[in-house]
Amino acid sequence: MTTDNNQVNNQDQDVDALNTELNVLINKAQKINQEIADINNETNQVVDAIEMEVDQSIKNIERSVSELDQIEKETEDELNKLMLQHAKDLADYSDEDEIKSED
Amino acid sequence: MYSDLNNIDKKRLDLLNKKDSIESEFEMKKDIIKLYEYKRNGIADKLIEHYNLKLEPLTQDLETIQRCKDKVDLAIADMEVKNQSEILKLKGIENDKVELEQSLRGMGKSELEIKNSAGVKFLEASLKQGRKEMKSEKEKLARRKSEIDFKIFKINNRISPYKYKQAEFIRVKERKPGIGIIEPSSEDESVTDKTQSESSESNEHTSSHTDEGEKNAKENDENVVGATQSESNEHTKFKAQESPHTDEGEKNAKENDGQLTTLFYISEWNNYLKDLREKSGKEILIGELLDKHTFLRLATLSEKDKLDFTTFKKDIILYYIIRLERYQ
Repeated sequence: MTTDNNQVNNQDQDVDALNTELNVLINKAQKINQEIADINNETNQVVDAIEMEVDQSIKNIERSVSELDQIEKETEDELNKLMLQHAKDLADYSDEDEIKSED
Repeated sequence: MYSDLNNIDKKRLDLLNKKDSIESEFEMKKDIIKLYEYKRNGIADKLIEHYNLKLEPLTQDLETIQRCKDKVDLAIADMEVKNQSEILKLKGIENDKVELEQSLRGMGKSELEIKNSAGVKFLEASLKQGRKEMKSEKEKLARRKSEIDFKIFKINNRISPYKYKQAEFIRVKERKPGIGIIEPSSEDESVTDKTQSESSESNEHTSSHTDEGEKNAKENDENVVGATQSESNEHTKFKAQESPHTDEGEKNAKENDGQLTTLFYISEWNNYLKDLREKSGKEILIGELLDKHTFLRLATLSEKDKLDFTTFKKDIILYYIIRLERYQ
């Protein structure tokens, strides 16, 4: 009877020990999960910052590009006007020549 | 006899006067053109200066973006390394769990009892959760990375025409106005020069829709007939080349002074590719043929713009790089 009791006590102790070990493993797993969450958080924060930098640069580029568009449009208008004036000058000059030669 | 001599002398004087008048007319036209060139160069210089001013910060922003791309790669790689260490830790716990289950079995616990044990179940769930989180985060980051890459690709595409435009306005300065001016060379050459300069003048700014502009364009069209004829001769030569990629092709193009329209190059290039594929019995690849509109937009050229083969080759390389990035 005493032997049986001892055996049961020993088994209970073993089960307790295994349960303690299991709890340790669970705690370890949870700690790792927390670490994984921290890594993800950290990476996301880094990527967020990078994305903000990209967005800011894109904004700057868009602004520069629209300024360039504006400048280009003005320049094209100016060049068109100049070309037209040039064509008119030449045409006027040719007309004058024709009148002179007719005279 | 005396009166004949007088007449000849009078005619000589008349001719000299006429010559002076023509010369002064020529000088006058030259001055008008010089003035035009001076004003045009002034406008182009102003634009080039603006471009330089704006392109510099723009280039810096592009470099920042490029650095950001590298930073994202680095952040992802860093996360991968850290995750690898977490995976090893999880594996260690997994092994410990297997040992623990063995001990439970040794103590006479059944498989069902082990499986249904609250502690084991919780541990398994924790391990699964860690792995799942790592996987989903990896996918999420890959998505974010491709989104950032796409933004960068889009902005790069947006900017590339401007790099060309700067060069285009530099080229504007190199163009000769030449309306009405005939270079004092051999007759044929002068006619060709005139045609070419007038043609380039008409290409310079096609946006002018005035009556004068249309009148000039009509005149140019008439002059271009000759050029088209020479173009068709060049067309035959170009056709005869098996590959425009060859050095010989380049040499021929240079010999012809490369005065061919962009449209001509595009159609010839596509014909060449089709022939090549037909001969090899293979199908044309997606995006292999030049898309006229995309090509013209990327190269900031119009159909009628004339260019030499080397320039066309550079534009074609850029076109395929951009297309390739799009298909990757």
